Amino acid sequence: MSTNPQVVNQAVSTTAVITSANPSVSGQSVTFTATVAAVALGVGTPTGTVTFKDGANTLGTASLNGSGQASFATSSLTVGTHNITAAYGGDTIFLLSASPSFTQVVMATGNATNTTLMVNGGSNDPIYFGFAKGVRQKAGFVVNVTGSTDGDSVVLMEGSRQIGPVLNLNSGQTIFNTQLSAGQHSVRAIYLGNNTAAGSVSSIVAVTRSPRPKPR
Amino acid sequence: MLKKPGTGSQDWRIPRTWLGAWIGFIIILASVLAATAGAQTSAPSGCTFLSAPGAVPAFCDTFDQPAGTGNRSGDLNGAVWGVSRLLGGVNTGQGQYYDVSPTIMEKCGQSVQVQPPNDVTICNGQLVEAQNDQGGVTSLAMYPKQPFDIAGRTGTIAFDVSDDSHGSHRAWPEFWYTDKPMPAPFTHFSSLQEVPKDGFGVRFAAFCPAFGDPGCGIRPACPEYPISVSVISVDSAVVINNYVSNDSFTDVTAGPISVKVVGCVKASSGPGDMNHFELRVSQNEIDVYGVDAGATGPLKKIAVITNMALTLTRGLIWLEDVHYNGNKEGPDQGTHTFTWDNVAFDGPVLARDLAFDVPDRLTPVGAGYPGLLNLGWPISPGGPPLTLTVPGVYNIAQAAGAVLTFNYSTDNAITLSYHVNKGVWHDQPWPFPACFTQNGNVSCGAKTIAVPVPLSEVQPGANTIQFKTADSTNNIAIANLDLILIGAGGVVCTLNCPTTTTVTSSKNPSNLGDAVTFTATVSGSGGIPTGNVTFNDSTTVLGTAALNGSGVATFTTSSLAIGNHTITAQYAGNTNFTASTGP
Repeated sequence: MSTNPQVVNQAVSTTAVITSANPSVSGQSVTFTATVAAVALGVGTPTGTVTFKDGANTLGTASLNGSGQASFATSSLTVGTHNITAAYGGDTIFLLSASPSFTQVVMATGNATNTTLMVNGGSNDPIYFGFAKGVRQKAGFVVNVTGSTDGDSVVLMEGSRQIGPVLNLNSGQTIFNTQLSAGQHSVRAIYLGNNTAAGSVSSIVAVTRSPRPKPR
Repeated sequence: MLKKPGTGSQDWRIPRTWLGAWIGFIIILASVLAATAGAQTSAPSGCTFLSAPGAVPAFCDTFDQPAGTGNRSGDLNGAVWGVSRLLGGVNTGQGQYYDVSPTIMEKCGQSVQVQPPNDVTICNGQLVEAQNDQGGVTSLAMYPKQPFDIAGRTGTIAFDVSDDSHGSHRAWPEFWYTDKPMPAPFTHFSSLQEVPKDGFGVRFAAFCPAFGDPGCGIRPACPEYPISVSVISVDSAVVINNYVSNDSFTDVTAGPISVKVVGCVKASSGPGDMNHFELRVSQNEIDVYGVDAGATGPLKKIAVITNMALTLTRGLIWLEDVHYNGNKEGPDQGTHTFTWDNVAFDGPVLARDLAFDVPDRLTPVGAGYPGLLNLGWPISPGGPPLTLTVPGVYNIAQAAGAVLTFNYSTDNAITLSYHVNKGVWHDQPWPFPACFTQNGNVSCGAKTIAVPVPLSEVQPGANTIQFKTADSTNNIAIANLDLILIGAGGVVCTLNCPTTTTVTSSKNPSNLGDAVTFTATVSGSGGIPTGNVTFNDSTTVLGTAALNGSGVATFTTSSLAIGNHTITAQYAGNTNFTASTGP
């Protein structure tokens, strides 16, 4: 690689964002905390501002502290799913960077409901999914919600990552047929609630997907 | 008649004037028990001419390559140095032969198994020959392939040498030069048989403390040293003109050459204890200077050589290095080696020759010589021509001329005919003035000769050489055949060789904090430069790194600030290579 001039650009930064509560309920204050750090050692701590976004909409901005962290609190998120990101604007030393997004779920308040999650027959034991010849098998997550209304929404979450689409309940039940990556997954179902029914969260179900066999 | 030690069946052919020296020499060799000397030494300062202050060496090798492992750490650079070996005894009918059995020998502190004819090892400027061969004396020479122009006969040759030999036979290093095309089997030991057509040699001799011991020589007047101190001076000089050896000894009847010993210096006490010698060559005189072993001065004139009849124009230094006289089946008479350093000469240099070798024949000699191999080829009287192939010829267009060199022996002074690639036949009369009768047999002996070949008859790649004679009564043999392209090898650079430096970046552009590695490559003519490279960011020194054995140095930094940087790599140079800076 040619040498001259050797061009040295701003240092590469990396941004991550976490939430104080997920899921939260409508009206609850939720704090998003972004951490901006240098990729290379020895080049210092980023300064400047972080912009928190819900999808394309800006929620607000906050300044980084001496540890490279910035927080933003809000209680105005509506019931539903929100795609949250934190974007660091850079400074004289550091290039801008943006965090991966996560799904903040906000549930309704109201009458109590109960959500259960069963995987492929109802066992909570780890389940090993194989590959039938020529068929990529999917996990069947069956969600049952008591106290719900047809058409209400359910999401499947692994941590703060949404798995699959938002599905609507029919007779208190919906089924996610989901292609999982190989490895262990801790999955829970979240019922968002409606005007009178509160949201609820299922227990966590551990599912293990066996790796794809090596071709012969 | 002298019998060779060991076999007792073949004749030594020794010039009359050498007889006295040889009798003493063989007696000593027969009484020496050997142990191979180690030779890890530290070099004195580089190539300097104490007798000619300010003179700039045109050739300089301090054997300090490669760097990083200390001085005197590697083999001779094959692009710069050549090696010649010759036995004192020859099988005159067939060429030379060697014992075929493998031998363990020491090389740079390691034991290596070697198989003749590859039983020469070189380390740290020192040659060692493992083979005892047929009980004869083997002599090795090392020579810088770079010849110099001595037509004007003014110049200085300087070298350091230590005595790595042992026993009562002390160091007799030799310096020779010749304008014979190289490589050529060349040794003074059989000066009647194997001399080059033209050459000049200066023989040094150390003198044992025990005055009068056989082989210790006759000590010259050195009043500044007590008799208990070994001293060294010039012993004799030899001029060879058109194959005729014209010797002068200080201790036997002198020939036309006058060697006047005017002083001496303290002799080397062993490996690493170097004597510095210089020879100042002028039109009709060579002054020889020396420095006490282990000292850097003063330089003392030790001999004046005059009355030479030199015809040399193209100088090629030959450093006679090791001679071995032993017999695996008999008493080991020891390996004598000398370690050379700081070889330099000044004056204009000439393009070196390229030599293309016909591999030795290596077929068994036969009954009576178990394990021995013929290296050469007989020519049957009246039979078909001898056909040999010279492979791999190149650079013909760069050559000033071509010659065939070979060892050639015959019983009678007849004419040998040769041709190249089925071209016209060329006739070469026996070049020696006289043949002789020895032990009832007529012999003309063996000569290393060089015969001309028109360049137009030489072709790239393989060349076919044929020899024949119309004579039907001779026993003729050819050995050690080389096709030489004179001047086709260009100039070997050993001193102030130009270099170029380039530098590359592992990542450009990079980000602040990234580790960026700059790689500097320094290349030079005549070898791989050694030393340090300094990496700069404009005028700021980033750091320094040593070149590795491939001439590459790297420097890694994570500290470059945001912005544009002008990076340079600066090679500092050394005795052999000039400085250079690059991207």
